[in-house]
Amino acid sequence: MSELEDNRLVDYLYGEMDPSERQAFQEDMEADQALAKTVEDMQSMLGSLRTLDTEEGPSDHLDSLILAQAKQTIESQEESWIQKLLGRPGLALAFSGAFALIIAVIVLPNRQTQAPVNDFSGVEVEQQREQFASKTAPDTSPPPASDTIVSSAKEEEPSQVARKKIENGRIVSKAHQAQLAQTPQAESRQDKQLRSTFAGKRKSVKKSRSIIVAPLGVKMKNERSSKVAAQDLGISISQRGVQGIRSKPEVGTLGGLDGALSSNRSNMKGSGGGAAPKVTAKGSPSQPTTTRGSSESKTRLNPSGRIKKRALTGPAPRTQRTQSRASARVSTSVSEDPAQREAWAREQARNAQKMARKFLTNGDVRAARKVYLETRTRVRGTVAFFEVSLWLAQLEYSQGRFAEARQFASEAGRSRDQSIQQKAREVVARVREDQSQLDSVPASTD
Amino acid sequence: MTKTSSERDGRDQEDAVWMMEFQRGNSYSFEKLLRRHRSGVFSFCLKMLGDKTAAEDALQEVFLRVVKSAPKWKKQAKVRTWIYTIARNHCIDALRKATHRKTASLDQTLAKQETEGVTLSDRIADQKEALPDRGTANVRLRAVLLEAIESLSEEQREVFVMREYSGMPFKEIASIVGVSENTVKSRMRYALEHMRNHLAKAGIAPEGKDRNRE
Repeated sequence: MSELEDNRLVDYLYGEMDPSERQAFQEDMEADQALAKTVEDMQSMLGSLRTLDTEEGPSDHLDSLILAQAKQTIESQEESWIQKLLGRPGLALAFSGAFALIIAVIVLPNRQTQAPVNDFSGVEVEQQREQFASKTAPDTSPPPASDTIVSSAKEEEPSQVARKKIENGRIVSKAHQAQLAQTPQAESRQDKQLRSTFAGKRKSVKKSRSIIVAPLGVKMKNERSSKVAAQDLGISISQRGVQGIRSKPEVGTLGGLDGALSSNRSNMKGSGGGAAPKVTAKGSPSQPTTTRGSSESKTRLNPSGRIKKRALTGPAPRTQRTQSRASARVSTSVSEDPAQREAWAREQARNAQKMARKFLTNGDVRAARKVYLETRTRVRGTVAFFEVSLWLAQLEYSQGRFAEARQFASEAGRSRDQSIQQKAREVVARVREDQSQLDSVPASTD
Repeated sequence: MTKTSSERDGRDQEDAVWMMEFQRGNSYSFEKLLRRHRSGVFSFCLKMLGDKTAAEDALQEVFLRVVKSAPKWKKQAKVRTWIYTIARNHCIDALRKATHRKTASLDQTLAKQETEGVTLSDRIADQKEALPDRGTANVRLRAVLLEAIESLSEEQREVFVMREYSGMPFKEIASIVGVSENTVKSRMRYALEHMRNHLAKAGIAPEGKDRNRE
């Protein structure tokens, strides 16, 4: 019997045939007596088999035994993953390796892109570099144009990136350019040496900047923001009577700026200073001499009276981008007049709300939260602070972060504004209600 | 024993729901699954292994494997098919480990706690003599049928048991066994033929009549 006939026989016996197929098979049976006998015997056998008493099932205690074992298995499966991790050194090693890799990928590139800019941000550094270069590499040949320097991606170290930036800023001395012609390894060593030499100075510069900028509510994250902060500072100083400082300030304003900065520092530190720096024009018969201002600033002017290298604590030479950023930040400058400060804070809060709403529309809760948090820090001490706190509380509540929502709501509740107080109370009440509902839900259905 | 396809679909969907609940940690759903499938799986294991104790052990083992593998179960797979695949694999392993049980021949001595030196054929003969009255044919037929099932090859037996005792469609059996539906039907055809011959040899007519008595 072929496989096809096998299938037909089985299909017929188990009733898995179409009526037409069944009809055809019955006709075949009528024609073939042997097939008919086989079918009859098998139908009879299956009928007998099905009429037999049903056999006994498994023992009754087996179910409870299986359930107990299953429970035990589930419990053992729910063993803490940390225990499992500790039990497998290989796995633990893999985990720590992956963690280290993540740190390396995320953190280090940021450090590399930020650090060099800080390393060579100041005039002092540049001048010390020149001094260093004059010792190690005498100026023997005319340097190539800075724009023509080409380095492969592999050889390009962070310090080289910074160097390029400096070149593009056109503050590269001949000695420095000679340095650039040296091998990358030698440059790297020199950079390290310079870095270690001026690490302490950088710290003091950062500190002084943060002291100046902090009261203005401008957060210093990196050099870029510090540049902007310095620019903001210039603007705010100009608002206070000092002549406006722009990307290329005139000679006459320089002393005012530096003096203002110095006096600002001296006011904050309680130390002396504030004298205008001596200025030496580049291109004059005498060699450009390094001059020190009241404390740390150094400036050098070209014959036209333009700043060649920026003051350490003064405004950075602005590119178009930084100019636009700075102009955008004009509004972040704070007036000392309380009424003006309140107005400024309200505007900040409104802007933050608009921005946060945009982020929330796009589903980016984290960004919205960040905007609120930063704004809240900026407007601390104003009425807007309570308003922003309330928005934060509402945001955190919507995200189910009850502890944070409660904290922000309680802060907002300290406002004198009745409506803010009421809304803050409402948030706290809702948090309480939700928490009590959650507490009343049983932990497991088991 | 046989269920309509709509009934089967409904049960399959219910199984899937229970399984998903169990995956979420609801152990009561596992209990439901156990109660639904225990008899079928036990019957399958009993027919495959030919021993009640071994079948009970197999039942325990199968459902413990279900618990352990539950996180891996996906909704695309039918729960019943999945459980029977586990049961089949376990039975095959058990049969390979204890080949002496599988190849119990008519001449093999029965267990010591039973009658020493008595063979399976003697027992069947005894049953024939000891059960002359009404209902004895039923008992005798059962013994012969069990013997016939035991004498089937492993491949034929699993197909026969799954179809005849668990009421599974051939398509599902094919997915459990891992062969085509046609191959399953072919194996079924040979299994039925083998059993018919075995009954004839034992002197039992296909319709259950005892030819020896006649």
